[in-house]
Amino acid sequence: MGIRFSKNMAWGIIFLLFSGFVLSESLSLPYRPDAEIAIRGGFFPTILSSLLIILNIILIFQKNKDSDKEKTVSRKAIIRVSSIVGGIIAYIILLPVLGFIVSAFLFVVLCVRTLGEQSWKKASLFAFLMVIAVYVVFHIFLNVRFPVGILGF
Amino acid sequence: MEIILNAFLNIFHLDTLMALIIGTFLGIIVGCLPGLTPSMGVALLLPLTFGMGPLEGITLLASMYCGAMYGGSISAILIGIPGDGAASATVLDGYPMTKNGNAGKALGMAAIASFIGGIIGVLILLSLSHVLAQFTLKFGPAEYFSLGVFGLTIVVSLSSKSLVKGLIAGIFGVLLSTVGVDKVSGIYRFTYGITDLTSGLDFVPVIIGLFAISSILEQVEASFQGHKANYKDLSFRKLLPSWAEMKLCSSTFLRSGLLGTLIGVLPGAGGTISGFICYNEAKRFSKNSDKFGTGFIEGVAATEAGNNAASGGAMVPLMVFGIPGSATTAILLGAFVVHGLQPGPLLFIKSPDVAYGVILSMFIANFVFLAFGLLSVKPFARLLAIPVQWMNSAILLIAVVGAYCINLRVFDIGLMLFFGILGFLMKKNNFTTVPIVLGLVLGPIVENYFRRALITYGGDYSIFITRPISAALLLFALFSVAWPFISPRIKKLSIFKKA
Repeated sequence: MGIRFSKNMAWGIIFLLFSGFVLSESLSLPYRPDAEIAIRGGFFPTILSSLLIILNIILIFQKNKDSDKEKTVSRKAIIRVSSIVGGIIAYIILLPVLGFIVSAFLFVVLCVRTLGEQSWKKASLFAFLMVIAVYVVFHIFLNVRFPVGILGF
Repeated sequence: MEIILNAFLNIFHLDTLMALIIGTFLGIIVGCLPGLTPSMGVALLLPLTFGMGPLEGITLLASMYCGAMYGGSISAILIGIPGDGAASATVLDGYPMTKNGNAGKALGMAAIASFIGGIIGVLILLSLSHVLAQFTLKFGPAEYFSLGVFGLTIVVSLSSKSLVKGLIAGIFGVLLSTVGVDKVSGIYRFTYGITDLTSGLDFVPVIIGLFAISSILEQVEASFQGHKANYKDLSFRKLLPSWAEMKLCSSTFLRSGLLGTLIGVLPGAGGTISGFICYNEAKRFSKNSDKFGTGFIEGVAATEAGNNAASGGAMVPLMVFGIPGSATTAILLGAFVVHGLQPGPLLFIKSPDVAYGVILSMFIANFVFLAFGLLSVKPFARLLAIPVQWMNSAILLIAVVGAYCINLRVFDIGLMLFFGILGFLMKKNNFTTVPIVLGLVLGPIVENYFRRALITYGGDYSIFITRPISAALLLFALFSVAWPFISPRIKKLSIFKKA
């Protein structure tokens, strides 16, 4: 019987590669040759990444107890999740350019629409009120300096 | 005693009182809304406390923790869905009570029981922490290292379905804490020339990502829709239980309070487990055990007193050892550190005003939520009707702003997103994110004490097992990891004996 490739195996392999990389990086961290081993910066990460390697080898060969119930994820769900993720990325990019107020407004409108609000009017009104509330609390009460964009606010 | 009295006077400053009331109020909201967990709420609120003094800031978060423990019962009773894990057992009798038309009484009892349980928990915290702090003053680096390892392993073994996955998550978290300048040798570790990483991964964006963003993404994927609550009959008169009912529950209050605190003290157990155990015990001791589960008021009293007492108990290991035992207390530890304080026995000596102040504010928070719970529970119940798309969008906005405002860096928003996606994917594959956060918080403590112990004793590893307290703690740690392997064998043995 061939080995079935399970999700656990995939995670084990990803983490194994990661910890192998960290191990080699930890070993190559600079240290003074005369320094005691515990003083070396790579000392603790070396131990941790070695432990991770052992655990991931166990994970890869472990019998899969949680029956890999493949929940089919609908295309709509993938679109929803990626629009939220995309929205945050867009916010990160736009923030220094358009400033906080505009980018946050656009971000909230996108979120509300993605999460199921039908009306643009309601979405815009809600986004406007939320941005104002957050701006008042964080900027006016807590003195947080938000990025100012090319529009000057 | 004088210190406690002073701390008490400090609390009655306008700022601190405001923080206390707002914290409790927000806590009830967070607890009440399913999908908004206490750990998520505390994580989102943490950035707001940066502008405050340590006492006000931590009071805000601690009272939110208290309020959330009670708040969870509101949705558990009204819609049969616990607002947070800790209220899971409240559903058992609370929801049937609503179906029988006794929603008001169930809510009233939940507020009273939460109050009594919470007070018992805080009083035990107050008396225990002083004694324990004296004891732990004798701890050296070896003991602290072992304590950290013990805290980490027991949380891993209790919070994860798969031990291996839990350990992977925990060690991954500790590894994350090593990013940045190494305090002992002064070299840069894993920064790859990125200047934003030199001071390490900031705690706040990481937890907002792991707790808030990842669960929002889960809800978005599942297309989670809102709930409808029935909030008639919630006037003050209808909320108050009768004298006979109070008398019926009096021993339950006490038992759940004590038991709940005890369970809370144990790392990793927390409110959820406490609620269920207290419910079972109340059922066992009650004369009316057959009525449990049918909408019996004692069932609500037992779980709510139990889980609120647990929040007091859970503060014991955090305040005394600086070793948190749950996700929420791990974030609170982060809050202490952000405000330049290190929880542990020295906290009681160096900043007694904050240490006792936080405990006392938790005490008063119980009165605050009792007042909210009995006088105006209706607005909180109405919150359950807020469209979920609005709720989640608001949380997303607060998350991106919160991640930004700690260091005023856009980089941190990216960091938050990265950990949000990572947490989302990991949870889909039965990893839990709690060990990562605990690892991240405990990592620097464990590493520092480990290396300090080795340096002090000339690189001799045996000190961890020759010093008795350290050896005992490591043994406990080993036991908590080995337990899942041992327990089925013991069970098999006992079955074998019976046969």
